[in-house]
Amino acid sequence: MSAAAANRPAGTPLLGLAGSFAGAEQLLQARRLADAAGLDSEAFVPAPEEALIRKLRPQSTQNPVRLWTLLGGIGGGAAAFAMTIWMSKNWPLVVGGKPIVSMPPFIDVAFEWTVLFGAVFCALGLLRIARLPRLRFSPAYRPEFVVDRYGLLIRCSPAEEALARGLLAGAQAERIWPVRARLLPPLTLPAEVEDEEE
Amino acid sequence: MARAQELDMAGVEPRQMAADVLRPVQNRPTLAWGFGFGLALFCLLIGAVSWGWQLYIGLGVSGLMWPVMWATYITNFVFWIGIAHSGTLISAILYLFRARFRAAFSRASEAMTIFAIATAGIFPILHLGRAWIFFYVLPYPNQRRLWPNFRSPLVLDVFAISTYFTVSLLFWYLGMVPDFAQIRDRASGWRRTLYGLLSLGWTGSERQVSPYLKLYILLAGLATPLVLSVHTMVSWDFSTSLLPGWHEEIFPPYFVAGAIFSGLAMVLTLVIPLRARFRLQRYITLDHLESLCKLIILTSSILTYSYLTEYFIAWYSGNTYERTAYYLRAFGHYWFPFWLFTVCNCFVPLLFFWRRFRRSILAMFIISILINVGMWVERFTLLVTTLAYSYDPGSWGVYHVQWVEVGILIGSFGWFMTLFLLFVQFAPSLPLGDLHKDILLARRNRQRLAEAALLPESLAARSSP
Repeated sequence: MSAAAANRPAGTPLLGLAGSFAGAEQLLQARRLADAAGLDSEAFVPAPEEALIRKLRPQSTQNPVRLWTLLGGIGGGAAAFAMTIWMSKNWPLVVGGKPIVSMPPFIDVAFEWTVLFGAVFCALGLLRIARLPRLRFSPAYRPEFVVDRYGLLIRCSPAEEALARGLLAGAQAERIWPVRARLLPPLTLPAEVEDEEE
Repeated sequence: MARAQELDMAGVEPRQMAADVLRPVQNRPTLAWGFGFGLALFCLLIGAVSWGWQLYIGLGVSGLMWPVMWATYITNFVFWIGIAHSGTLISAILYLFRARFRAAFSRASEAMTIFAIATAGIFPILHLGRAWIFFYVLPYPNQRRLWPNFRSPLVLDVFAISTYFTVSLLFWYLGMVPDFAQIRDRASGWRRTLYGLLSLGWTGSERQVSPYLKLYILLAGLATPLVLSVHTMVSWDFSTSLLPGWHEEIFPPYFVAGAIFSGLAMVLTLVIPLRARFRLQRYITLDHLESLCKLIILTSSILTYSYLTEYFIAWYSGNTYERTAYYLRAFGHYWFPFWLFTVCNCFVPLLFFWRRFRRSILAMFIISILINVGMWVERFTLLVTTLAYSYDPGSWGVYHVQWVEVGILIGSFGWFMTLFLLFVQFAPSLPLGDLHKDILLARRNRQRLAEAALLPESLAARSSP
């Protein structure tokens, strides 16, 4: 059994069609066509370009990572104030004639914990929203998508396959291949998958 | 001509760029790397033996003796924290300002930050003597029912440095995740598993990239004030003491400027051999290095201004003790380190006003080392002279460095270089995603110029992508 067949057993339902592109313009064109046809799609980009992502996801003005960061920061700052005040009162030692609860130095601890917890929650927010870490890859993924090629997966039913193929071809996709709705085994890359169609 | 070198990136294929940057990761270590790593391990061994001896005998083997109870260990601490300062700052601030030369230095300087904090963090523990009870400073429930004194800058340091380490580590590691995905896809066997785990399953999907970009700018925004806070708190270790030469309000900005200055110099010291050894001249260009040299001139000027202000304050205050402290700093027992750091930090960087020095790799490398030497000696002089010459001449005393302290200093460089050499061999030393963006930007700019028939002939003659 070839590697391609191993990734695509008979009877596995079709998830959609994927195409790879040489440039961002072709990818955006394919996305516009897929949107016009009412088909759901997912893009892969080799470089984290903000301008491109904004065009790909114009609806994504919300930033849940920001909310996670804000909540983490507020929680961290509040925890630091609570900790410093309570501990100072629990062991009331007068140093240098300063009050037991000396807010100026406590603000420093609170600042540090605001940043610390904000950053940690920011990272946790990314993991949650981007659904990372993942050990199993989408079968639409190709290693070239993190190097120099743009990719688009158009989700479609078998009846819409011809339409999706036409959309990708119309946007000058370099290669088009069907993607089956099946995750690959953990840490197995679809690099070994042979091209089905040029 | 900066623009010409930027536009030249248009001719680079991203696949070729990735192959160039990942060459050391994909290949076996070279003999030169092995030699450097062996040397770093040897230095580390010297440090370990020295510390072991100090633990066995006690702090008495060091030169620490009343009245100078803070000397080379705290000097090392402040020096390494200063080195750590510039890495995240370069990366985060240049990211926020969208500086184009960021990609050349960001990854190496972030790594420098992590390893420098890991080095600096050892010294307060080592300076305790009874290093095994360092955890007393942490706020944890204990049978003695004691809590840390949060009014002490020494305790604030613990919070500042641990936060700085954690945030810098997140910023560094998360920045590398997409690059680890590239290594994963090129690797096989255990390396694919290792880099597969490190890449967290990154595929470049828009669902990953979109929150990732938001995370990155948030982390950069959080890291920037954090960087400033860390050395500010370190400076409070001194400025909250009622000692002539330490008790000054200028210390926080003065320390921050010095830290950025020394960090920039250390970036040059590290990046110049990295660039030559791994043949990265196309990605770390002379223009990039020249930009760092200009920043060094700026920070050196701020530092020189701070030194002069210190002397002005001492004179203007009319305080005998302040005036004496500063007079003895320049003309007392420690006159040589004082003039050494003055030359290295205030005069040597002025050479960068000449373009010839900013464009000479050898000159840059030598000047960066001299600045590093100057900054270490500056911290040493600042610490030791104040303690050696405080108020009462009857309590004055001179400090002499002992071999254990020299061994531990060598060990700290060994530890830092061991970590850095492991990094350059097993992780991408340049950010592939940022370089890719630079290539795309250069291609767009080149196309615009070509359409307007304004592309310089020298560039037009080169092959287009």
